[in-house]
Amino acid sequence: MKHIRSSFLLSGFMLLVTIIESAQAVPAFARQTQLECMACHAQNQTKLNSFGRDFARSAYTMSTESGAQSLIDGEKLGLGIPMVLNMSMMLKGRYDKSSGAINGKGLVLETTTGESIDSNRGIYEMFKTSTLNIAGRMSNNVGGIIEFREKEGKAILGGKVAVAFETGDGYTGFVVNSTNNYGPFSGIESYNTGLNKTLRQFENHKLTNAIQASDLGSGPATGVQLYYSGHNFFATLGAYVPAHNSDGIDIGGSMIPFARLAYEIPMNEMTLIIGAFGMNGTAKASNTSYYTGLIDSVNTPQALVGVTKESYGFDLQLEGTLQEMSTILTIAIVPQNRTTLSDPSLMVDEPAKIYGEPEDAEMQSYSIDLSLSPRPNWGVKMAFLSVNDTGPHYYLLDKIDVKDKDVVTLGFDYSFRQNIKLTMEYSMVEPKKDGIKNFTDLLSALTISF
Amino acid sequence: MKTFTKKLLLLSGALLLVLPEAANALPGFARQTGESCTSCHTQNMPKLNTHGRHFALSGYTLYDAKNENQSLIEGSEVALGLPAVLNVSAVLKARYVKSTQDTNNTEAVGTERGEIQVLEGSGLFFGGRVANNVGSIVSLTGDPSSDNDVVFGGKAILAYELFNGYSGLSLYSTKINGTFSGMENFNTGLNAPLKQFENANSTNAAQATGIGRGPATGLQAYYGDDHFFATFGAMIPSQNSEGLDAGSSVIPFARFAYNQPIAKTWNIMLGAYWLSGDMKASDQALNGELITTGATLTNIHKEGYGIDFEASGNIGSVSTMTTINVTLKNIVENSLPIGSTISPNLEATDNQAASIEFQVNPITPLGVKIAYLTYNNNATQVNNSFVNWYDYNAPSLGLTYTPRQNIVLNMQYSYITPSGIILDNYSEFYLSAAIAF
Repeated sequence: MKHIRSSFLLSGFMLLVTIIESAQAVPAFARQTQLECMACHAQNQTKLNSFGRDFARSAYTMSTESGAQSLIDGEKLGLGIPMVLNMSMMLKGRYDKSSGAINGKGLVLETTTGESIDSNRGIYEMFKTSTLNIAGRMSNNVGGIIEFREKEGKAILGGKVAVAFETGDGYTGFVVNSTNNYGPFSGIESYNTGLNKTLRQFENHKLTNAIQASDLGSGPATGVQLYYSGHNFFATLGAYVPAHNSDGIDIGGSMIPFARLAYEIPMNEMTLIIGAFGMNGTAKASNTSYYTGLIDSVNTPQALVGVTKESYGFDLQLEGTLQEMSTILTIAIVPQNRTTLSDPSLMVDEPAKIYGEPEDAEMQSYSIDLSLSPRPNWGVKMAFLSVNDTGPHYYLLDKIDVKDKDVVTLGFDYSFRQNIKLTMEYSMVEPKKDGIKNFTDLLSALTISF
Repeated sequence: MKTFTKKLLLLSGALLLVLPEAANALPGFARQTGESCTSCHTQNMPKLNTHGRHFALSGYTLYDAKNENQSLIEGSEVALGLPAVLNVSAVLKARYVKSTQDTNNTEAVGTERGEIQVLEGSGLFFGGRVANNVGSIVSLTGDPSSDNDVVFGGKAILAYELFNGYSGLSLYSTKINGTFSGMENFNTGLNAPLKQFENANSTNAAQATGIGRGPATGLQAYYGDDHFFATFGAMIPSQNSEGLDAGSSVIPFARFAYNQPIAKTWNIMLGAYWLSGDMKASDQALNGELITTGATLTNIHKEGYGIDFEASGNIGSVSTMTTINVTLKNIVENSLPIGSTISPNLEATDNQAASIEFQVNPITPLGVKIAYLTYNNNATQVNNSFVNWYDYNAPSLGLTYTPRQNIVLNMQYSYITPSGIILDNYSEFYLSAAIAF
């Protein structure tokens, strides 16, 4: 019977493999513009092309302005609101099977009697990170994305609103952003190097991308961002607090400033993008603003905590056609991502109940990711990631530096439809710490956006 | 004390009757197809007719090509076929439930006192056609049975025309609709929303035994046309969006039905269903959380089978539907020590039941219905909150009034006679309204 079940799973999976072709966009934008997904996306849903970057920098305001997308205009006061509210959903189902994967303490994921659990057993994740989006043009020169998602049974609302005006060959704009997940730069960041969590080459971002693996391009962030984009140039300056709390964040004026520059160099059928990013500053707010779970804590009083970030890095993206194959090469280097807490004990409800995604204090990393698409609907990819985790670990005091590792990953993307993508990625992980064995991870993901 | 404990268990079992149900009558489909609700539904929503089954088998991909708002955005190098709008539905429900259970020395509470449930079981539903040959339903509902603010549920279906019908693959995850809900379109209660009575635990065998409801995550292959429907699949009897570490230990299941159209208005369906197998996952994953520290593996064994029958058609101009469901065996076993915390649907069970339900609509908007259910509990332990722990028989009467195609009012009365135990006979009264738009 066990053999039958395994065979069924295998045959079902193989059937899926053979029928799925491309997916992770926001089809609400396709509805607004009446353009296919690939008008904005390169290779598949998670990566933007040049037109997609322009659309984002226009504050998502480009529209067909006809039919159901006709605009309701104001007379004495401007309006320009579409006749319909454009919505879309992104569904994701994943199966993750690892062998010898470890937790933050370097222990293999298994029961006390030695039976595999979690991804070492094989884990199905249905609806995890799935979202409902209301997105697109909101008014003349104003647009944004409102995102609704679920995490551990709790409803999470995030999003951004941007104001953009055409300036020369590009746009000048202003963004207000609050996210539980996508990191400080996600207000307006449109390259595929992982600085915005949604835009990356691999699904398994922690094992393939330096900015994601070092925790710099993910996590909660609430902030504002000014930007300018020209034909070959993108610059943004912003300030943020590393928290997402709709009940309020009592930061006063203490936000962490950050900046990002990128320059695009056309080279025949390729475009080379070279960028840099950094942040340096302190945000001070109540510990309960950072983690609402501490409101009910009997062990940790409400008190102000200063979070200091000192981080910088560089990224490179080479995109275009190579030997008639769509090609994207991304390199990310994070020489430093340092987080310092004024009083770490105020951020933990003893005994060590952790809220949010624990962030390690100091990380260095670099990665190189390459995707080649011999055909429009499928591509292969490979990545190398190296991470150096120097601690200390504020949130899990008994955690060790298991993030010190080199990782080689191979992957395959198949787009059954432009909005339906199957991804398979296989990672071979070599931890650098003595006594921790190598492990592997096979991740399969089906993403459907509609 | 023992009696009091049993009464409390009885009451908790009755409360399960009011858990939210997924809607299967979605005006988003009417928007997509340009057809009225009664194109797919018979007598009243959510019961499906032949065309409704056909639409479901297509993976909900049929659409109104003449409607500009439903035009498709097509792909060039890679296919697309995305509708120009995202079709959305809202389903609102309100119920009043009054039971006559006696909790002895305590003041009447809950449904015994009379309980109003407004918006419970309500939700938002997204979907229909997703792309060429692909459709989906996604629900966003609250979950009053836990601390959860919101629960995602739904399915994605790949469907191709084959012979006179469709073959397809359904990937699904549900908190409430049960093992077979990836693709099940008859009205015999095997898919929780598709049944004749609102208070299904007292009227329908598949619902009373629990084999046709509860959490499930699985993959289902099927073929269906106007005559045949066959499906086989594998599932995990749980839903946890943080992950289920079941590895490859899934429970296989199958279902077969033969439908014979007679004359122009009648359809006679005879079907059978089966599941049997073991799955193993960490106790914390099965209990709604996934915390790997200190986890232990729990083995769940499920075994069950039954037969069902549906006859629908007109006598003169009067619409009728008869459904019979016989769950011959339904066993759930788990390896956890008694008293351990686990999702209710995974608690140990050994039961069987048979039911017959009949509805006639003397005039189109008004339905009169009757049902009879007999239920046997074979398990010795009583700590089960998902199904009843005692034997009983239950005749039921009901009225359904449909002032609009998308508005249904129900009034139902069940008289339950437990046998062989110290419980008294009791009754349940339901008054409910559902609006889908």
